[in-house]
Amino acid sequence: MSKLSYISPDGLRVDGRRSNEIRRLNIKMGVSNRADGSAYYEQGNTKILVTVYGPRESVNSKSLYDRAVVKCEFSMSSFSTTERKQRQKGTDRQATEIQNLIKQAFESTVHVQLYPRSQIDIFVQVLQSDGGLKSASINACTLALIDAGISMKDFVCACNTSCIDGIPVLDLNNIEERSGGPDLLLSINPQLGGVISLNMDSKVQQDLFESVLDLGVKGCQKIFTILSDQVKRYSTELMSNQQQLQQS
Amino acid sequence: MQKISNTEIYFIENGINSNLRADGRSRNDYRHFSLETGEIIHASGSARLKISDTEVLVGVKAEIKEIKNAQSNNDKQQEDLKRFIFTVDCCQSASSEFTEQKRLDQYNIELAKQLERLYSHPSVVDVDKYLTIVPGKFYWNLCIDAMVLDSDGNLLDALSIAIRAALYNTVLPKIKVITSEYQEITFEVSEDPEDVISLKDAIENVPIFITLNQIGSQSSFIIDSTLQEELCINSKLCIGINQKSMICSIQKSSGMEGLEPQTIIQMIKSAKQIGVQIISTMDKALKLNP
Repeated sequence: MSKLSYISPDGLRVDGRRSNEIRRLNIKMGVSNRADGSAYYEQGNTKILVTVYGPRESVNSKSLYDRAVVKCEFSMSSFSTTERKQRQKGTDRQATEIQNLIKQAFESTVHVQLYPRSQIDIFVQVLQSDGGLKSASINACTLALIDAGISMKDFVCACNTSCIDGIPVLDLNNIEERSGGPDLLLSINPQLGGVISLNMDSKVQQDLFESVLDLGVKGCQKIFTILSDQVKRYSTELMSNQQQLQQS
Repeated sequence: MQKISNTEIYFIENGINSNLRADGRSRNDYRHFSLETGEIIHASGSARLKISDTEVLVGVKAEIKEIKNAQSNNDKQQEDLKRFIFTVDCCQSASSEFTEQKRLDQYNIELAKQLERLYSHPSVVDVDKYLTIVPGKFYWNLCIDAMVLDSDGNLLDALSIAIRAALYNTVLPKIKVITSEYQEITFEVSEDPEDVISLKDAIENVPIFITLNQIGSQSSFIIDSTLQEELCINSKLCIGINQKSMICSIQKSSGMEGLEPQTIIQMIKSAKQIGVQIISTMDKALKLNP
């Protein structure tokens, strides 16, 4: 079999995008009635459901007297990937890594000192996975936390970027992730401008890294505009509903 | 764990005795439900079912299974005959009852086993016609993974309806078997995405569960219970019904009280009626939106 070409001579990728384009986002907020906050997030074929409970009283006495604890539970459905895989809870290393990533990202962004002696539970459920799991999970968590009305300094927007055949590309899907290029996961506070997490596991020249990072920041900003648009639309809808209720 | 007060139990029991439930339904009313199919493109078939707040997502994945030698011991043979593998995964976020991992695991297994008992009978899906690649050697195995995203009672019925819809939605690639000189078998998978075997016609005999809950007096029982009602159940009877209103399985799960045989007969009668109604509405809807 010939080597798969990831970028055609016309500059189009395997799914027809240009190198600086993200996949289509489809977002729904407030999908669960039981949870305090929830969001359904679709980025291309990656589909994620996040529910947030809290801030609530800590179940086991590990609460901190001056701030809230963020907990995250990440699980993937066994039909989410192309190959069926039964995952054991607790022993899945990938899940543990993402849980920690999310926990750290949001402990630094949520105003945890406003909710002493309590915990915030985030449940991430992957319905279908097609690359960019970590970044999609982080974006979905941001929306769910906003829906739960938890006070945050800023959004957390994440995006993965890589570099294929010397060209920096944005928001990789599953096929492109396997190309073996340097996979850079970047999450930022788009309004405050701080980088929350930065993971890259490959060796790369510095000037190439700079251009990849630059593209990553642009991607995060792009996602931020879409997310904040959606949040605004959702909250105006909620407000107009409330006004209608008051009038009637 | 969710708890309920004595006054609430009294309220629900009295309501059911006078045939009016908290949400305005009568004893034999089903809640409205919505069904979506084909949402998960990575699976061979999938369906999402919503009954009020209860939400389940079922994905079917097909795998080729090879049976090595037919003369192995009995246990192995039994295992080989299974064409369906069920797993149920209740999300921790779905209900406050699911927060304890150990209980959750037990509950998952219990549900999966109940489903397996209903569907494992050879007459449910015509194995020879739809799931055989090389008789006696290679078969399609269907891994049916169900996920409970949110729960507001009546989980087992919801799961069985979603599984039926997911099977309807399932397509298997056509496979050409090539036997080489040394009896080696290789497969050639058809590359045309249109050239597939659909299980549409195979689900004719696939049953669904109707769960009847006896609450209050001996002879009053309800279907499609909400979470609140499930907390005051005396006993529970799960009946598998297929399109021809035949009984495919009866399971009386352990409850607080026993059931009188007379009540069981009544329960079966109403389960038959309701089951056939649900299946026919469901089939109509599925045929309209392929």
